[in-house]
Parts: sequence; C-alpha cells; structure tokens
Amino acid sequence: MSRENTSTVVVLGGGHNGLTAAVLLAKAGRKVVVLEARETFGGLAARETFHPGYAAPGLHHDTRGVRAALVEELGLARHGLAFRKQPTKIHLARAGSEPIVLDALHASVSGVAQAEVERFAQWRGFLGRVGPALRAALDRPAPEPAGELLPLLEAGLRVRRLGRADMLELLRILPMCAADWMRDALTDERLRAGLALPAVEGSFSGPWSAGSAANLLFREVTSGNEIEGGAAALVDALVKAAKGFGAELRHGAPVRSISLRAGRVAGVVLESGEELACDSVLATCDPKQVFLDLIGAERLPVDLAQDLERVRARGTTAVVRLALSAPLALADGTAVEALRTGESLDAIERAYDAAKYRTVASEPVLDVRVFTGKPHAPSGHSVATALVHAAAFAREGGWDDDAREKLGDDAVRVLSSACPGLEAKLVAREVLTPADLSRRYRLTGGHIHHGEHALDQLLFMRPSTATARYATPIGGLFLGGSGSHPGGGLTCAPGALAAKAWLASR
Amino acid sequence: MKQYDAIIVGGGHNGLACAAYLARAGRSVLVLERRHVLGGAAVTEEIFPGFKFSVCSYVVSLLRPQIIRDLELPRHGLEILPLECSFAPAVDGPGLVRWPDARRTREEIARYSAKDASLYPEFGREMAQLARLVKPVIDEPSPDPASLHPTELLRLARLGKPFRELGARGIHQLVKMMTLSAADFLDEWFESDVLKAPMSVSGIIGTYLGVRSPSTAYVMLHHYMGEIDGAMRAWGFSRGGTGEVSMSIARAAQAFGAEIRTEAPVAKLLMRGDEAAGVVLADGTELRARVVVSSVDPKLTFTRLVDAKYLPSEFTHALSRYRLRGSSGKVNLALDALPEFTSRPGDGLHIRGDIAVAPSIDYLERAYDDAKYGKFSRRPYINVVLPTLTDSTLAPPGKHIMSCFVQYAPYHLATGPESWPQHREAFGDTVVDTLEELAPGLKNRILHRQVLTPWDMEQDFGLSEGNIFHGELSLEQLAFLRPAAGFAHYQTPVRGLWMCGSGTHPGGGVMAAPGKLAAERMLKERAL
Amino acid sequence: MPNATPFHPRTQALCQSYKWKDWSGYCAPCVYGMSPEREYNAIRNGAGLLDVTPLFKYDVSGKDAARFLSRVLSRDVRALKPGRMTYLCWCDDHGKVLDDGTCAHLGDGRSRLTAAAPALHWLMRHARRYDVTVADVSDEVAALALQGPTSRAILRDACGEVVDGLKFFGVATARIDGFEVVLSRTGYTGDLGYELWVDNAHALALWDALSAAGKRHNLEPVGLDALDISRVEAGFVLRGIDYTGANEALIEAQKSSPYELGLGWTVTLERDGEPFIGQAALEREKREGSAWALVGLDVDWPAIEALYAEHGLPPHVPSAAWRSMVPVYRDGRQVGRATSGTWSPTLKKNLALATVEASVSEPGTPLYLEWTVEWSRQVVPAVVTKTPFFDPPRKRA
Repeated sequence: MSRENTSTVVVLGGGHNGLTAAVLLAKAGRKVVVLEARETFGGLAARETFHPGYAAPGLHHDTRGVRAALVEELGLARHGLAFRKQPTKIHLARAGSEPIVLDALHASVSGVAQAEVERFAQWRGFLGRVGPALRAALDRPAPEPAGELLPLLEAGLRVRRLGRADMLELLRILPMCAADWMRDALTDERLRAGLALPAVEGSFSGPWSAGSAANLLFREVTSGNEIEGGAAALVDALVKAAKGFGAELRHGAPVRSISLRAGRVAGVVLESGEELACDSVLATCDPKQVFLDLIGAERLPVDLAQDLERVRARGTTAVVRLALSAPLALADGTAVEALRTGESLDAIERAYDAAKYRTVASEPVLDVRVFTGKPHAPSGHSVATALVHAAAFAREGGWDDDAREKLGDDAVRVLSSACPGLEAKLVAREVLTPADLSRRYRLTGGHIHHGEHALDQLLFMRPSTATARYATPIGGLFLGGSGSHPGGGLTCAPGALAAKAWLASR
Repeated sequence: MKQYDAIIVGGGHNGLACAAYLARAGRSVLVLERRHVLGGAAVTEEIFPGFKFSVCSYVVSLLRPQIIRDLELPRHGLEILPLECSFAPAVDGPGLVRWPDARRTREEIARYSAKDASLYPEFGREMAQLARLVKPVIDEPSPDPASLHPTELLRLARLGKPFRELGARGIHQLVKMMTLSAADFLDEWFESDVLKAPMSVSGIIGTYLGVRSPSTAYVMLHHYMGEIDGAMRAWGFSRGGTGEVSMSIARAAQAFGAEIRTEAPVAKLLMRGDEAAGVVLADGTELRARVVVSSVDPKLTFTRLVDAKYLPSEFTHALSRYRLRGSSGKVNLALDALPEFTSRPGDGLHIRGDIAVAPSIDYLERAYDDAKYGKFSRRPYINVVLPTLTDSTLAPPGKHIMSCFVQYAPYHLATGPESWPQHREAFGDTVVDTLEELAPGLKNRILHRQVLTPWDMEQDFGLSEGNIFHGELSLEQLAFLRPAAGFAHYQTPVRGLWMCGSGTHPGGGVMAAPGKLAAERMLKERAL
Repeated sequence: MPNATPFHPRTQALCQSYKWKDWSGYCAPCVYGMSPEREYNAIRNGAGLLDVTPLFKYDVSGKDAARFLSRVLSRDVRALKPGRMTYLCWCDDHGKVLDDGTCAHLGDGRSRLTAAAPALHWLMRHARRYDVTVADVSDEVAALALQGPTSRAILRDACGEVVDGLKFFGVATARIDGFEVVLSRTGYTGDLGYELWVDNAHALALWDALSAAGKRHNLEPVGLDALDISRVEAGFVLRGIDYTGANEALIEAQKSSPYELGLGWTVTLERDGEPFIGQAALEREKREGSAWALVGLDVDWPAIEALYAEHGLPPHVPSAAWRSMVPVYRDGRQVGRATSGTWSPTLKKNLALATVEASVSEPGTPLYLEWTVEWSRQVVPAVVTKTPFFDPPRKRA
C-alpha cells in the first residue's frame, strides 16, 4: 500500500454505469481505476458470444434509454457511437390475425382499428406532454422531501406547469396498475398487453399490481432512439473514451471487500488478496452487495444496514438467447426486429402469478430483440435475445439443469407459436435463469435492475434515503449503479450523476 | 309546497350524519330512503324470526369519535361492545389469537417465532406513530394540489409540515406504508406466516386487491388508529347490530328537527334550468329543496339521478373510469349452537373477537388470483364474528348468529355479473365448507343461511357493482381524486347537487366522516 | 393475565398482603406483610429473598460470542473473564439507551445477558453475520436475589465455601442438594448480595434450601416495594421509570443517552475492531457534552415538615417509594423532572432521582422540587447529591 495511491478513485464494476462514471471522472483529471470481476467489460451490456460465431450485444437489449445529451457529454460519437435514425418496429403477434406493429418511439401503430389508432395517439400525446417534466426529474439527483425546499418547489412547479388536466392525470396514474391505465386508455387487448409489458420488467409485479403504471411511464418517457449495434456498441465506445482520458481498466479483478478506517473508505481488497489503498470508491455493483457483502452489516449504522436489508431485489427475469440460421420471421414470413408475446394483460399477469408462488411460468411472456447478420451472427443468420417473464429467483427447490432446460423449452415453444418454423432454424440456445444471472453478473437476487422498481424504491428512496444522493454515510463511498436513482436499464444516468456528485464533493 | 333547505337521497349512516349536522345548524332537512328500513349498508334486519342480522356491515371500526360526541349518539341509543381479540384458527395446531394483553399475545406468537414475538410491540408503536400522521387526513376535507387558491396551498403546506418533520427516513416509511403490499410490508418485520396472514387481511377488506398487491399495506394503519383517537372501544359491535349506528344517528337527526321518510325511492332530480331544485319520487311526487345531497354512490348518482345532458363530458369521462369492482360477499348464519373450532374447542374469550380464516399469505393470494380471473375464491378469506356472544338482543337464548364476511366474490364473474344468482348457493356452500374444515359439525348446527353476493348488494342495497365502499379505496381514487379530480369537496358539476356518501373523501366504512364533512362544507360555502 | 413464576407455590403461600403486581407478565408480590419496612430492614440488616425470575435472560454462545456482544453492547466485554459479570447498557444507532442489564461470562464461550425488556429481536437482528447462537432462556431459568449483610453466611451454609472466594461481580457455579446453581455476587439493592440462577425444575428446591439456611440469619422474603426503596438509595435507574427505552419512546425527547443517565462509565469508546452500535453518536456526545444529567436529590426535610405544618398536619411520607414525574425548578424555571424517590429509613433523608439540565447537575447545586400537600402545590429545596446515596463497604468487601 503506497501513500500516493490514495488520491485514486476506485470504480467497482465495469458495466455501463461504471464506465460512464470512469469517463467523467477521468475527463475531470482524476486518477481512476475500474475493477471489473469478469473478463469482459460491460456488465449487463456486455457482448456475449454464446455460441461460436453468434454474439448477443448485451443482456439488456433495449438501448432507448441512453440520453443523447449524455452521449454528447461523454464524447462517445468520436468513439464510433451512433444512434439509429429509424425506430425499431415492435411486432405484437396475435394468433390467427395480423400482428400489431408499433414503432419503438410510439410514433405509429398499425394493425388496429382506426378509432384505436386515435386513442393510441391520445395516450402518446399525454406521454409527450408529461415527458419533459418527468425527464427533468429523472435526469438529476432526486430532491429529498425533508431537505431543502427549493429543489422540491422546483420539481413541484415543473409538474404544475403541465396544466391542470395533465397534472391531475399524472397524479392519478402514478399509483395505478398498468392494467387499469391501459384499459382506461385503449380498447384493443393485444395492444394494451404489448404496451404494458415493459411495466413488469425488473419489478416484482404484474400488470395488475399498483405502481406498475409508474414503472411503465418512467420507462417510456425516457426512451429515445436506439443505439446502432446495440448495447455492446455503447460499451465499446465507453471503454475507448475511458481509456482515452487515462482511466485504468482492469478486468478479471473481483473485489472481496471494502476496507474502512474510522468510518471512512481506506481501500479495497481483491479476491486475489491484492489490496488497493484509496480514499474514494464509487461502487456500481448492486447496493445490497456493496453494503452487506463488501462492507458487512456489522460495520454499518443499524438503520443503514436495516434499510439495505429491506431493499427488495427478487429477480423474476430470465434470459434466453437463440442462435438462428435465418432471420426470425412471423407465419407470413415477415422478418421481425422486435417482438413481444403475451396476448392479454391476464397472460402477463398469469406469468407473474407463478413467480409469486416461487415457481416458473409455464407460459412465459417474452420480450424479444433480433440482431441479424454481422457482427452478431454469420451473414444471413441471426441472434434473438429474449427477456423471459416470469421465473422466480427463489424457485421452490432451487434451480437445476432440468428446470433451466424446461424454461428454455417453454420459451422456445411460446416464441414458435408466433414464429412457426423457429425450431428448424435453431442452431444453439443459451438459457440464463435468475440464479445464473446472479452468479455470472453478481446480482443480488438475480435482479437485473439491482433492486426492484417499486414506488418506494425510486427517487430519494433508491436504494435508501441515506444513500440516494450517491454519497453515503461511509466517508468516500459513493454509489452509482442501477440501484441508484434513476434506476436500472441502459441509461448510464446513475453512473453519470454519481460521478458528478463525487466531483462536486471535492 | 314546502321547500326544504336540503333533501338527502339515501338513509344510510352518511346520509343521516349529513342530515343531523345540517339540522343541528338549523336547516330544514328531509331524508329519503328507498327501503323500508334505515341504515343502507349499516343496517340490522330480522331476516329469520328471532335472528337479527347486521346484514352487510358487521363491525364498527372507524366511526369518528367527534361525531359520537357532536351528535350525542350514546344518548340516542348507541352502545359499542368491545371486539377484543382476533383469532386465526388452523386446520392443525392451535392457530393464533392476538389478545388485547401484550404478554399473552407475545406468548401466542412465540409458539411460531420468538423473534416475531419480541418485535410485535415495536411494530405496534411504529404503526401508531404513522397513524398519527394519517388521522388529520381523514378528519378533514382533502386539499387540492391542483388548486392555486391560497387557502388550498396553505392547507397543503400545513398537512405537509409534519411529514417534512419526519425526516427522509420517516417519509420513506410512510411511502412504504402507502405503496407496499401488506405481505411485503409485514415481511420487513416478521417471519411467521401464521402471524403475517391474519395481520395482512386488514389491508384487503373491501378491495379488489390481494395481500401481495402493492398499496394494501396502509389499510393496516386503521387498526392502530383506534388507540390514538381518544375513543376507547373504537372497534366493536354496536348493541342491537350495526343498524343501531344508523338508527342512533337518525334519532339524533330527528331530535335536531330533521324529517325522515322510508319507502320513498327517488326517481330523479327535479331540475330548474340546469340547477337541481329538488327530487321526483318514483310515485311522481315532486319535492323541492335548495340543495339535494346524494349519499348513494357516484355511479348511481350520475347515471340514475342526473340526466347526462347536465354533466360536462370531462366529468362523465372521469366517472366512467371510476372503479367500483365489488369483491366481497356476506354469508349470515343462524346457528343452533356455537361452532367448535378444532384449534381451540369450546366457548371462550377467543371466539368473542373476530375470527379470521387466513392460514397463510399464499392461501390469501390464491383466493385473490381466483377473483382476478373472474371466479369466486375456491378457498376464500372469511372474517367471522359471533355477535350473539356479547349481545343477547340479537338471537333467542342459546342460539347464535355467525356473520361471515367473504372475500373474494368478484362482482364481475367471468360469466357476467348477472350470472351470480346461479352461483349464489355454490358460493354459500364454499364458505360453509371452508368453515366446516376448521369447525367440524358446523353444518349440522345451521338453522338458516343468508347468502349475499355482490350482485345482491347491488340489487338490494343499491351498491353499484356490489362495492361496499362506493368505489375502490385505491390511491388514485382517494383524497382529491375521490370521486373525481376537481370534485372532491362534495360539490358536483350540477349546481344545487352535492354528495356526502362513501364515494367522497375520506371513503368507505362506518366512519360517517363523509356525511359530516359534506355538511360542514355546504354550510361553509353557504350553499343553503 | 400474568403468569406464575416457578417460585409461585412458595411466594403465594407467604404473601399475606394479597398485593401483587405485573412484572413483565409475571405476578410478583409487592409486599408480603402489611408494610415494606420490615422487608427493607431485612435487606439492610439481615437478608432478603426476592424472586427476580421476570428478568429477561439470553444465553449467547459460539465462536464470535464476545465479538458479537461487544458490537451490540456499549461496553467492551471481550476482556470479560470467565467467572465475571459486568453491568452495562445498550444503545441504538443514535446512542440512545435501549435497556440496561448485566452480562456474565459463564465459561466455555457462553455469556448470559439480562435485560429489563425483551431484546431477542434486537440481538438476533445483529447476530446474523456472527457465528453465535442467541437463546432466550427467560422462561427456562428461574432467578432469586439474596440481598443483605447476612446473605454470605446463608449462602455458605447452603452451598459451602465456594462463596468465600466470590468477589464483587464474580460468578461461580455451586451445587445444592445435587443440582447446579449459578451464583453471582450482584444485585439491585446496593448492599452485599447475590443472585442465583437455576433451572426451573430446581427452583422450589433452591427456595427451600435458602429458606432453611436463612432461619439462623434473619432471612425474610421481600417484595418489590422494599426493593424499590433500596434501589433508590443505591442510585440505580429503572427502565420505564427513570428513563424510557429508545425503542419504546414515542418522541425523541423521551430518549436518553448513557451519559445522560449517569451510565457513561459503562461505555467503552476506546476499542479496536468494529464499532459498537451508537459509538459514533456517543463519541460526538462525549466531545460536545450532554444536554441532560441524571442526578440524586437530597430533598430538604425541615421544609417539608414546614409545609405540612402550614396545613396543621404532621409530616407524612408514604412507606413505599414513589415513581411519578415531578417538576424540578431552579430560579423559578423548570430545569428537569424527578422520576422516582423515597424516604430513606437508613439515612433518614428524603431522596429522589431526577433528570435535570446538565448545567445544574453539579453536586451541591441548590434546586427546588415540587411537593404537594393536600391540594396545594409548593416547592421545597433539594440539593444535587452524588449517588449512590447509601454505599456500605460490605457491598464490595
């Protein structure tokens, strides 16, 4: 342990948030070391070659949440990052009739009655109007309701400025369940279900659960254009940018513990036994892991330990990756880029029911993204990645090979019914149960968002009130992963806000 | 022709309370009740000779103490008998009784978890602290966050102040209380299912939600409000049945000069221009008043009483989204002898409180899953009381009344609500079978059985969709959003028409708060 | 409905007053005869035998027992040797006292904690990451306090010379009539005395053995009233009376730190390893000073006599100790409250324990205590006094 090292900021986790923080800190002239446990960078955004010649560009396949302004600030365009010009077409397949086709920005919908198109436009219009106010709230640290009045009044004013009707509608929707919201807005059950599916991602809830409307709302108002090449392209650009600013990136460097001295960070100890002295750690792994595993509840104030123990992170999402010898296509031969199964709100709800009883849905609901040709698969071939709802991390009796294969079979069967002939194109598949996700990506509870998106685990309460503004009661320790405001998914926002909080504290 | 200051449509506890407060302020008031008895859903009826059932609402929970004092209800016959303990019987084993005595409760819980036992009192204290914050919210009209009126802003700030004083962590606790599911909230404290299941059910009563549905935790607070109300015996039976609550309010109203008519169904509003000027009865009689106050639910008010042409489309749209999915049924049994629970055979204090059929969280959640998909629960949650153990006026000596509140019985069956009459007896059988498993021999002691489905509650009691609270008590339908944004202060888009039922703030239950608050609002606004 | 302790068959037979109270869910005699004076005198001049079974008892064992206890308790008990007991308190995160009690090292890495209130969930909440087992033995271990100048002689007769080597706050194991008893030289009276811990099964045999041995040494069964007089003389605080446990307080103002309760001496701030719960807050308080202080008050007796005289009454004090909040003044301004007090038959003084602003807590500070005669509220002078008020050398000898 050498003295001069102590001015280093150690970033735990080389996922998209860790790398984002590293870029901003290094850009500000700080000495940064990123420690990534795995051999590849990117975390849930990392490119995964799951069969020779076939690579999935990230476990998260929805890149709509990465803000253009942040990409600009990070200077990622210089490293090859580009947004797609055209939004992805999302197909909502339905048995025995034309699919509904949505574009990912909700600018258009087809395959429904004209009256429904108008209702959809109204719904979309509401999102468009409340979007800026919500984005403003989600793009900055969450004000603390018992803290300074000014940021609170500011946030209140932004909402007031929406006008009476939209403001009341917003307040009405926030505590609602997605199913009721969808039923208020639309009449086509297939469209309702297709739009509602993201509401249940990363939350222990179904579309009937109160609060799921907010999850959907926040997700949709922060969505923009997708990134060309998927999540992996984002990671590539972040790695280049970080290195360009002089950050040191170390892979294969899992951390065992964070050492404290007199209530402050003193360094980190790697699993190899190596010790790194530092007075600042910016941790982007999940907060339960940071406090309960890497530090230990016995070294924390009781309230803090209890708050972290109470953070709910019950994984319900599994991942299935398919290597296909042809593009994924519907019955009529239409190739699809993105597809959501689950023909009704009840179908999604039933899948969640299984997770409630610590089992696995036998009719899972899939959110599928297809990447065709180079660099993902041999030319003419494709890779389909599916987020599969719902499979309980805490499966009764635990997860074994049989359970994993059954989950894979069920997912393929469900997808086949929308895309006949799928089995014939199947070259290989990889199934990751929540338990696999927990092991491979070091996720507490196998939870892909580092903690459920629930109304009490957002804003100034994410992951706990004492840690929600990135700094923590442990001197020198900052949080900056998906477990922090504004939450999980590919946004890079928690990492960026954490880095800024760190810089502001100096 | 006489012109009243106010005509109140519906003689339930809220309508009567509103009448009493208006009459007390010197206004001339007429209450019109469709049925032959007063009380609405807070009613006592002799359904079988000698047996008086609290047909719908069966316990007095949150009747506001201020109303008891203001209207001097004890002088008008109100007497509340305590409901002291809560028994959760089990098929095997002793089940769980929560007693008013902390030590005994601790021993009961310690059978299942020593840790839970030692934590239970602390839970109660934390709940009482949170309940303290909620109390002013239900005792006052809701502030309107969309209003820029200085008094509304001031009220918001005033209600907001104690919240800010809680500190971030305290506010987080409150947010959890408001948004978590009862199951998740209890999971933060306790490990034993035998304890958590009966505690969680207070969060789902009357709602179309399960114990794992987010936002069910906060109703548990109500259980801790009695302690801080300054009213002893806040939870209990009303002597003579729940109808006596209504009757005592009616007597108070009459003592203040209000006029009450039964078997006087109102057909529609009497309009003068686009203002309400009175009502037209079903028999064609026209009655005039300066204001008409509806205590029936918003759906009934604005579809039956008022012609749609008088309502702005925005309001009609908002009401079309107002949710009233009824979810509960009632089975009233007249018994030849007391039931014998295998958990704890024989008579005893443990069956003098409420008896909750809630063996586990998963059991309750499965009961909800059935309802979600349009079926009544194959194994329902049942809340049983035996009021005859404390009130001998209700049944012949030695005979008993067993009142069973049942969830879930969704109004919207998959086969349509109108198919309920075909399912009524099967539903009754399910309830009795469920109880028979816990108290074998019950079936043979049943003298009479009354099964009330949500369909029946709609048909017989005028509760739209059989919703006992005049609208679901979900967050988006409470406070300034109940029943619709901009109309949470008891006024309606029709001049001269007001609301005072459970479909207004602070909502359902035998609280009588909406009736009181509506009367106060009308007086303050000089509406009459 | 309170439960019976394992000694109930004996205590019930002896309790002629029919005065019982609920102590943590057990019924406990307030006084056996008509007045507590005789029982008090037994404690100070002979020996008193008191059923203290209702205390909460937790056995902590396992590899990390000492480390775990030092994390939870404000006192570092890692250095506590087998055969030693110590008095201490434990706090929440904010350095506010949850409860006070004792911790005994029973040997083989096993420790026993006593508490006035249930603490199991608090212990278990923090036990998760340690290799320890926390067992609630409250309902399995019966306990007797044998207190007073002749207690040593009684115990020597009952269980032999193991008693002779037992120092103040020492713990030993003895055998009486073939069963095992844990002895500790501790108590809540401020006198020479012992506490005896035994399996419920042997409770009656222990009572009988001590009663038999006590015949020659002026042993009396004593109730809680006599205990209360002696504990005020000894300056011991009582949870729920002199302070509110932080987990039961409804508002911040009801909570107290160890420093405010005069228990600062039990807090070990200097230690290695993990901080104990509340350490940071207590370090801050130590540095910045406390707001309140728990002090003894010596209440002026002639002034009380004079007040009674004004009403034409002879002076009167209740025979038992009192426990209610009574205002304390300085220069006409309220500076605190007395929480319990007693007439001390030994010292012939009127004593009280009070929590006052730290600025008026120096011994010798003149204050005023509210005193009501008939219906008339008056004040009487009271002087801040060091506790214990009564501290006989035999306690430690």
